[in-house]
Amino acid sequence: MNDDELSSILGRCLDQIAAGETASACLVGYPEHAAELASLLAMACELGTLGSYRLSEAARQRTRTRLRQAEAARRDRRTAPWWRSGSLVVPRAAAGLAAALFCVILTAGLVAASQPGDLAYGVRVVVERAPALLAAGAAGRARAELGIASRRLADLDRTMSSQQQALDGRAVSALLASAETAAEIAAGLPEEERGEIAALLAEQANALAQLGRAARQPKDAEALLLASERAHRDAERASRGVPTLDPQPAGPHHGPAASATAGPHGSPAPERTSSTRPRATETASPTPTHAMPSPTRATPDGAGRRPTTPQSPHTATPERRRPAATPNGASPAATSSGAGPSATSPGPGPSATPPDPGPSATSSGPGPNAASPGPGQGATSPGPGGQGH
Amino acid sequence: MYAAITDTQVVSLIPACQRGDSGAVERLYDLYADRIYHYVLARTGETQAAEDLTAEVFLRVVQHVHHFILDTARPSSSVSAWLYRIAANLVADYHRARRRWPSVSIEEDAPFVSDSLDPCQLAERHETLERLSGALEKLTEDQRLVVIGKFGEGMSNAQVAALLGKTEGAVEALQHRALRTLCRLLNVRAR
Repeated sequence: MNDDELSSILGRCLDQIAAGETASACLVGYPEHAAELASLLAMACELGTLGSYRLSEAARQRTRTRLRQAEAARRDRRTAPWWRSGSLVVPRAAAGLAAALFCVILTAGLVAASQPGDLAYGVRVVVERAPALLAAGAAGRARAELGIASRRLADLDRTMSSQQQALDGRAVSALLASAETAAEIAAGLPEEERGEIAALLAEQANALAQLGRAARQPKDAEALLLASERAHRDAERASRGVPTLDPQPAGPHHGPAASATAGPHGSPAPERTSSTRPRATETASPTPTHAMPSPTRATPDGAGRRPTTPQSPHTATPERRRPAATPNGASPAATSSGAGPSATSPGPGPSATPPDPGPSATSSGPGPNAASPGPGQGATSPGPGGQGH
Repeated sequence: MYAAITDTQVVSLIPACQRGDSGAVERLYDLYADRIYHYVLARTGETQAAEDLTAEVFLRVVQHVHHFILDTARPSSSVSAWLYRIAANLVADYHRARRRWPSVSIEEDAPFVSDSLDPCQLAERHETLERLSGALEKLTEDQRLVVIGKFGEGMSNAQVAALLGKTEGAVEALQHRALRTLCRLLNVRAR
């Protein structure tokens, strides 16, 4: 006999007991299970003592009174305004909102007041790009990018004047990214507007060069001069209406921003090996004969030594060594002191075809040099710091 | 033995409770108070605690009845299930508190102030209740509800089946297993 049958028998026995029969009388019908059934029925009888307990009348009355009070209190809460209802939902929500608002204001304040070298500066750089993304029209966007570049330039100026902080790579990256974007956008604008933007870019490039010359740390100086060179190239592109100077788009690690800016916080740390060339050289324009005299940057010590492109860990490979001179041998000739970008010397060179970013158009200035070791040779992208546009 | 609670009663009471009708809340209390009391008593083994917790169950009902969604397919079962769930939670809280702050109930003095039974009988009753409640805690919730419903409240198999949303056969099986477990736990043998 299985459990189900025994369950049924137990049920029948319990029903019989409930109807007034005795346990013994019930067990007579099931002698083979009498022993087990007897203990189960005994247990059931013991459980029956639970039924002898009754909720006292006093307890019932007390509970009814409490229920009436609770119901009245609930009605009051439902009809009363929230500040008298005792509900904590609205005050809690308000407190949460106030706390959130406070946090937002505090964070915004910290970000707005951040300076190069601060943790929040990266956020500020990103946030301040918003106007450029929202600007209407190509010209407006180009000017907005220039405005952003000016801000970064002002940041760099402040950093370098304080003489206490190291150069922040993020500022340089952001400046170059904005300048490059402005130049790209300007390429599609009418000549007059292009000229204006190119002039502004050139001003910024010159300012960068001045900062570089004034920098105390040689590595800062190098980075700023390289950035200046790159900005000059952007100015040149803007003035000529060439969207890009480099036929081979560079990856995120090839841009000058990547190589000129060592890290998000630190100042650029170029490797000062005069014989080692960055990838930029390898990705240079395949028309080295167009090379203009490559600018030789004045180093802080006034030696006129060409700055080497700072190397990022991704680009520094021993086999990428550059010969001492460019194929046309013009590289070491020019100096950048006081030289403006192509905007100030827009005369087209012999090979100034629009898609060719050959630098002959700027042969009178220290503009970009396709074959020179300029930092931006292989890069149309601003590098990791300027990927946001 | 209590009269069965019909779906019609529940269907009219719950919306009235949700509207804030205090009379409806009291009627609901009258319908379910003894059942809940027996359930709580069987699980705590203390009459005073059972009275307090039963009251607390219905105070929770007042607080939360407007969130309760009545199952129109089986109204009385859904209300019963809701009330037993509240009671089970309160009992669990009670046991947790007892484990954290062990205390001696003043109820232990109660047998000596009762008029109806002599002290020996009261002490025996109290001891039985404690033993039963201790053993009932070892059962599953379904087994406990079957046992308390059947033997504490005198419900029929059909009523318990309706309460639990199970078949009568399932209730019989639960009853059998519960009794067998209790016999083993309490070492009950046929007299």
